[in-house]
Amino acid sequence: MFLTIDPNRPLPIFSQIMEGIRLAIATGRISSGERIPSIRELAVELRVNPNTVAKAYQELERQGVVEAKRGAGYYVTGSDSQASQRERRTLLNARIDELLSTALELGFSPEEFKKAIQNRIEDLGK
Amino acid sequence: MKEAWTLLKTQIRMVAWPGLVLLASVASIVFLPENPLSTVAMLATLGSAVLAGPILFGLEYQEGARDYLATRPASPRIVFGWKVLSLAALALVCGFTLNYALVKYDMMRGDYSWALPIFGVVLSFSLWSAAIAVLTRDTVRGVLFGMVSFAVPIFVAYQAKLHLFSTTFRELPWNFDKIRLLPQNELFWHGAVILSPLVVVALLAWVHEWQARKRFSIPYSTVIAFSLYGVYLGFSLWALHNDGRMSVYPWPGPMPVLGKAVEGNKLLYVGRLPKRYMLFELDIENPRGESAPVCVLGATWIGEPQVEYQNAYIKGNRVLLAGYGPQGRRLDLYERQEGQAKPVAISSVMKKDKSVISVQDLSEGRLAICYGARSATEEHRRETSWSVLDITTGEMADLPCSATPYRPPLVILTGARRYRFVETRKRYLNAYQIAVENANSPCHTVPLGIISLPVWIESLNVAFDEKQVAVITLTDSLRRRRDLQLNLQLYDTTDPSNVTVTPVRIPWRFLGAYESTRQVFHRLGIRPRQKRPEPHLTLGGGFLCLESLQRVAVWDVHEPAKPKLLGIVPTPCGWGYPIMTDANPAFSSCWWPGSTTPIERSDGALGFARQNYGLLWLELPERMREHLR
Amino acid sequence: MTEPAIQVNNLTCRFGKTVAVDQLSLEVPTGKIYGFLGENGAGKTTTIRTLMGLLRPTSGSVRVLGQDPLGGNAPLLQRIGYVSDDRAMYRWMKVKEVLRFNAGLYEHWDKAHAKELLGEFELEPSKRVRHLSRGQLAKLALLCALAPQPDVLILDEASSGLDAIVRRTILEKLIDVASSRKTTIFISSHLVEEIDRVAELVAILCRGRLIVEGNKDSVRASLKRVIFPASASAPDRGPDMHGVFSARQVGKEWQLVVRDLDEKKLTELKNKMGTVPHTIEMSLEDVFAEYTAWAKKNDKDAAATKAA
Repeated sequence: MFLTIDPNRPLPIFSQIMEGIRLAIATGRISSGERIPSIRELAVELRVNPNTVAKAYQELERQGVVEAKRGAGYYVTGSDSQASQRERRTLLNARIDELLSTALELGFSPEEFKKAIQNRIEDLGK
Repeated sequence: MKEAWTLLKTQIRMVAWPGLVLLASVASIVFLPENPLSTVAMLATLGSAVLAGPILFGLEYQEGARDYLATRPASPRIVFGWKVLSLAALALVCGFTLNYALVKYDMMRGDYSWALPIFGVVLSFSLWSAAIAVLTRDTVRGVLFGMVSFAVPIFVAYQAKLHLFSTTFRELPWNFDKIRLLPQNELFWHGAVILSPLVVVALLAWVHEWQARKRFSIPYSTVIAFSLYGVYLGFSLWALHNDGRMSVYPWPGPMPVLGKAVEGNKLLYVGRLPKRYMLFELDIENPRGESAPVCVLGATWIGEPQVEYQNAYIKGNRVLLAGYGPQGRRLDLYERQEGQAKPVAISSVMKKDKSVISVQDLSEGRLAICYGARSATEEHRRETSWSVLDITTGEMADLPCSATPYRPPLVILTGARRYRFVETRKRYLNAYQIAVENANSPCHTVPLGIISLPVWIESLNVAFDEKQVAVITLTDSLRRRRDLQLNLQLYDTTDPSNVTVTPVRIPWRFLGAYESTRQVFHRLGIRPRQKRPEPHLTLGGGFLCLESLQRVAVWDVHEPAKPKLLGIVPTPCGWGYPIMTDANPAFSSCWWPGSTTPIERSDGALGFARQNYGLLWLELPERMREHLR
Repeated sequence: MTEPAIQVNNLTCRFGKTVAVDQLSLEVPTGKIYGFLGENGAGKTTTIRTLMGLLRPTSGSVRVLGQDPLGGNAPLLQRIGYVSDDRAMYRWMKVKEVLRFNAGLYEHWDKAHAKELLGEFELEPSKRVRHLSRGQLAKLALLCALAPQPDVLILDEASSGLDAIVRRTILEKLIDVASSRKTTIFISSHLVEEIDRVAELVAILCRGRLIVEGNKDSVRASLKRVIFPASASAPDRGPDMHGVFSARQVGKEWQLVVRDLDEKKLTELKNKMGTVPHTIEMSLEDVFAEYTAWAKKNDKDAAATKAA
């Protein structure tokens, strides 16, 4: 599974891992029911602390994205479309939040923001 | 355990090739005896001794891997302990093999004192190598530089010896300056040099600790090394300070001295030059002055049968010469007049049919002449008779003797007392009794007193004085021929009917190194073939001297019950032979002095005239200091 | 709660006049990876040498696995794997001899694992130590530290001065060991990015003194960069003004670094500066640099006030 971690990013590493796994699920690189690498494997591959990976996995498990099967490792939950769908939505929402906070920072009002998006979509459509 | 062995294996590997190189070079130095086993043993012993130093101390510091080793889970102390143990075991095995080879193959005859300095050198060398190995953190360099730098202390020691110890005696002429390697005061000096690497190691340990730990602390090894060395050095310096010195005033020429007398500040002596007999005079107080010839006595002519004198007696301006002439024994009395010697007649003629066993000084210018057998070895089977000659008057009279001589008729006269060995108990060998008699009384009378000497004496040496008899014996204290001890006893015969005996303690330093070495060899089963060195006694004028192994111990025995040790004097040139007139042939093979009163110099030195050397002055610090006050 | 794997209490190491380590106290819990950060000369190696018993503390104490390591505590050393900064070992030995040497010293030396590592690290058994490259030497040192299955790994600049490939290999191996065997790992490094990746706990040392210590994420979050666009007034430069760590003017902007930023502080600053700021998370490397600079500045000020 291809994931990159950049420690210099403000986002904590475990969050980056979570994000990466989510992205992989969302884009269909990992399907529902598929096994994700063990904590140890991922830690070695990414060269990060195993506890960090463990933390990410635990959080994902808590959020219901993955589940731990005894002795067998971690697996993506839900059926195919469900997982994908779910993740896509989560990710999109996260991005929208980011965009919204930037807009507000820049001094735009929510209405102006909405307008700007609509304009942009129209422009891209042409 | 496994860890210690792992470390040891590695370290053995590290010294493997330099070890082989060293052994090979040692082999080329050592004179190879015929037996291969002893070669191997000798090489292994020497090699292990040489390598002991670097192995023990150098390998931990190899190439700066000290920290590496310190972080390995092996206790360095255990490893060090194993190294010491294995080297000791190797040394023991080598020692026994060497011993076995030497004894079985009869390799080494004689004196083992040669071994002492060699092992001293080897030990010192290995310690130096260790010190350098620690310094350079390299074993090979340690050994190589050790060899070279070892030359430095040897050179220093030799120079020091030359300058510190040689100023007090002149160089002896005519080959009498054989300096042997047996213990003298220089033993302690040598020891100090040999052990000097301890100081170097102590300093190095300190410096190393400082560098490694960056703190100024003194490690235990430094304290121990320094203390050991300090103690030894302190002892050596004390010994040097307290020991006396000997200076030699040589006779003016290669001549034996036949007799001497002290008159006031002058020493008069008769010397036999190639063509004549000469009376010399020497100023005692000027030890470096020259002897002045006084007069010629009894010239000999070339081509004519010569008169050969062996003894000379001097009293006032009279000189008596005793010796052999063409007609047999003769006594010639001379009187000094204005630089010339004029013969003086002796009242009665010497008995021509008898030979003179000895001429002894009765003091006050009277001599007792003992007639008896022609040779000293037969004298105990023959009758002896005595005459008394007064030098000043020239009168000779018989001293009556009873008919039945006691056996053995060995008599020593000292002044007013006559000592005679009266009896040998045949059941026990070597048991003696000495009878004390009045010298003027007829011979073989009831003695005034008896001195019984202890039984089981291996060897015996006796010195006699008018009032005292000193006996030194090698007694077997435990009836086993192993722990033979030297015992020195002083008998007070001032009151012959009540002879008291005082044991005189021989200071350990006097014979210590020799005795302990001898005992070590003995216990290892090596029996040196050489006879134990004879201790020689000199008693006279209230001074008792014991000479052995080129050292003289001097006691003040003016109070016989309280002998006082004045000091020990090393005599590198040996003690020499006494002047014949001082000697008493008490034992057939023994020419050592019976009664010799030393010449006392105003600064406290004691002088002993020797037949061939000259006058030996013993300068004992205690006496010299007392006399200064 | 089990006792910590490493415990340092008020450790001070003095060499003559220089104080290499000054009153250092830290604790390394069992099973964690602890990053020990500091620039060159900060006192990291000195501290580690006391942990290995090579140096006697001037005052204070160190305990590793509950024991005092001083004076060659052999049973303790069995359980510690150590990579020194100079990778000292017998240079004349071949790689296989080094292995054999160490195998003889450690009770729990895992031969199979050692062989595996030999292959993974691509080390030639017949090559002599003095002919190894820096990277190979580092790998060999790590091998010797890992093979005895230690409970504690102490690494002094284990990957410093090495190329990226070797560093990756080493790091991967460390993670592997940390996850499979729950070994406590104490790494000292000046490569902050690596520590950022792998450490759970960090400590920052400057000139022998501990500046900050704790969970890596909290340490990292303890400083935040706050950017103020053009402002009318300048911030005060007094000590500990609203916890401002440092302040710098770039063009018309003020770039502040604030310690333990919370809402309250942010509001205060907003009021002070008069403009709306924009907070940026800092990387561990930046945090490290800031803390080090701050510590040095403090020293200078302290020395100045002392002189005055």
